[in-house]
Amino acid sequence: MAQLINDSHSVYVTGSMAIHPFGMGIQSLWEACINKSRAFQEGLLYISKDLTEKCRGEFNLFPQKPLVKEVIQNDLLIWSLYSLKKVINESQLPLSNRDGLIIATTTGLTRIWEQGLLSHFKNEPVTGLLYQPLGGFAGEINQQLGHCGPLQVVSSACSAGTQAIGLGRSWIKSGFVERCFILGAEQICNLTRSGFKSLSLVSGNDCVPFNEERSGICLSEAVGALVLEGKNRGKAVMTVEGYGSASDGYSMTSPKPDGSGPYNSMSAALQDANISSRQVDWIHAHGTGSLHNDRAEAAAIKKLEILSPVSSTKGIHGHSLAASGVLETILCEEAFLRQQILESSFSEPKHFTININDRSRPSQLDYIIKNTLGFGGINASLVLGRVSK
Amino acid sequence: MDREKLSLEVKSLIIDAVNLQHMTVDSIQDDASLYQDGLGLDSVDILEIIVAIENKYNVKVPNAESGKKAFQSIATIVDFIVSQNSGTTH
Amino acid sequence: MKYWKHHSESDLIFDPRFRKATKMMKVLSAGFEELFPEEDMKNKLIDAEIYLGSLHGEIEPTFNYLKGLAESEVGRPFLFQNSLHHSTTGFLTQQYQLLGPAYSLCGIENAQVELLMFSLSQSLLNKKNQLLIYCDSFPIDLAELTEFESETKCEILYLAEDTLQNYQWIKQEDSSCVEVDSFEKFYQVINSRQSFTLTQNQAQMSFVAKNESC
Repeated sequence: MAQLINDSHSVYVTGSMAIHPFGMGIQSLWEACINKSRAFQEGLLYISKDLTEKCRGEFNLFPQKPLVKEVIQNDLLIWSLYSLKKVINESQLPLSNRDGLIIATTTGLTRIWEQGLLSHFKNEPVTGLLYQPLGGFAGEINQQLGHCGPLQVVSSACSAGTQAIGLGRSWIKSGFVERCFILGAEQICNLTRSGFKSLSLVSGNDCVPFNEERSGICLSEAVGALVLEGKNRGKAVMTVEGYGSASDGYSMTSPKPDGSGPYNSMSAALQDANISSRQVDWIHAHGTGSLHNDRAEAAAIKKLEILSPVSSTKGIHGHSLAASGVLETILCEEAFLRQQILESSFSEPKHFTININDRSRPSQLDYIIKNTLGFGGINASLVLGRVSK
Repeated sequence: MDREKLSLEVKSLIIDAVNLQHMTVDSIQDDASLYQDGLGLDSVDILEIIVAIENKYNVKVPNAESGKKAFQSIATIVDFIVSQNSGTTH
Repeated sequence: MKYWKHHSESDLIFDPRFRKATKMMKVLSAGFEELFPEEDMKNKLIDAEIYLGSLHGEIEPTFNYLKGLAESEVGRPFLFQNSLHHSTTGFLTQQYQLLGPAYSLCGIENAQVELLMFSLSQSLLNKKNQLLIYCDSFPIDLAELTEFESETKCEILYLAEDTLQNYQWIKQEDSSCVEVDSFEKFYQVINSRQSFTLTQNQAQMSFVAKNESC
C-alpha cells in the first residue's frame, strides 16, 4: 500500500483560472482589490453579459448534444466549461481516467430548475424541470469535457470550495488520481437572492467585514478552476500544504460564537501542514461581513494566537458561496507570486482586536491560511505554501 | 378588534408557523417571552413568525429594530398588530 | 462496522427537537439513534468524518420555498434554511454534537459508490472513524412530473478506523474482484473478506484482501 501513496508532502497548484464580476483571470480582481472598487447594487454583484459572450466565443464549449437544451443558454455552465477548458489546455496533458474532477457548488443549475418550476406553478408547459440542479450540472460538464475519471460534487454550503481543494489533495496523495481539477461555481438565483434576504443577512449597501458598522453580506457570482498535481511540472508558485475541516455542532444558520469550529479547522490544517501558527504570514479570512461570522472567525484567530495580518476581500468581490473558497485561493496564489498582501476592504472602524490588515503592501509570504465557514456549522481551512525557487 | 380573540389567533398561528405541536393555545401565556425563558424560540423562528404575521394581518415590520421590540411576547405582537391596523385607518 | 437501512416510513413520534426537521433529517436521526444507542458509541463519533451523499438533496423544502416565493413573493426562512444540501448533514452534527469534518456530496449516478470512493481514498491517508450516509426523499408533487420515485431512502454505514486493515489498495484493474455497487454489498464483502472494486466513469479503485489472491 505504502508505495502507492504519494510520498512528497506537497500538492502543487499547477494551473488556475477565474471568472468574476471584475473580469476574467485573477489580475483584474487583484487590481479591483487594490483600487478599492465598490460595485454592489442592493447587496448583489453579477458577472456581465459581455464577459459571458466572450467566454462563449472562444472555445467550442458544447461539442456534445446537451441532455437538456436550456443548458446551452446557462451562464454558469458557460463560465465553468470555459474555465475548465482553459486550465486543461494550459496543463498540456490530455485528459485520462487518472484525472479527477471535483465540483463545488451550492446551487448548480438551480436557475434552470427555477424557470421550469415557475412555468409549472403557472400551469404552463414545463421545460428543464427534470434537470437535477447539482448532479445534472456535474454530469453535463463531465460529458462536454469528455472526462472519464473520478467525479464528485461537494455541496457543503460555503465551505464546499475549500473542502473540494482539500479532498482533491487527498485523491492525489492517496494515489487515486494523478491530477485533479477543482471547480468552484456559483450563480445568483432566486433561491439564494431571496433566501439570504429572508434570514435578514443581506446588506442593503456595501459589505464591510470586521467593521463595527457592518450591515451584512453581499452576494456575488464567480467561477474558479484549479489544477492540482503531486509533481511540479515547472511553473507552480503555490502548494496546498495542509487541510482541515470541522463542524460546530451548534446552529443551522450561524457559527458558534466562541469560534471553536474555525479554531478546530485551522488547527487541523496547521497540524496537517506540520507548521506552527507563528509561521503563518497572512490569513485570507472568510470575513463575510455578517456579525456572527466575523465574531466567530476573529475569536478563533485570537485563540490560535496568530498575530499575522488578516484580510477579507469580500468587501470588493462579495460572497460567491461555494465558489468563494476556490476564487480566494486563486487570490492567494497571486499574493505568493507578487509577494504582496491585500488590505482588508473597508474594515475601518475596526471591531476586533486581531491584526486586521489596513494596507495592501509587499510582504514576505511563505504560508497563508485560507478559511471558510458555512451554514450548518461547517468550517474548512487550507494552509497554502510558497514554492521555493 | 377583539384583543382576546386576536391573542388566541396569534398563538395558534405561531404554533403552526414554527411547528410547536407539543403546545396548545391554552399552554401559552400572553406575557411569556418568545425566547429562551419562555417558548424557547430562536432568531430564525422569530423571522418565520414575522413572515406569517405580516402575511395574515397585512402589516409590515419597518425595520429590524422595531421587529425586535414588537416580537417579544404574544402581548407585544398583539399590540403591534393593533397599532398598525389603527394606523392604516387614518 | 455497522450498517442500517430505512425500510418503512417509521412512525417518528413528534419530538420538539425535530420540529424544524425535514423528512430526511427525521429518518436520518431515527437511523442514527437505532444504530448508536449507547452513549460511548456517540463519543467515538465525536470527531468522525461524515460523508453524506444524496441525488436530490433537500429538494422538498427547496421546491416548497420556490412555490411560496412564486405565490406570495415572500420566502419562508425555515424552508430556505432547510433547502441547502448541507442542512441535513448540519442537522445531524448539531443534534448529536458531532464535531468532525462533514461533507455533503451530491450523487451523480450511484451516490453510494461515489461516497465509498471518497471515504476510502481519505482512509488511505489518515485512519479515522467514518460515517457514510446516503439519503434521498423526492416530493410527491414533483414525482408526478418526473420519473423519480417519491419514496424516502436512508442508509447509514459506519466504518471504524480499522475496517480496512486487512486490505491493500492496488492500482491495476482486476476483473476477478467483486464489484461493489452499494453500501449493503460493501458490508457483505468486508464481512466475508473478499477483494473488491469500485467503479465510476472509467476509473476504478481496487482493494485486495491481504494474504488472499483476488
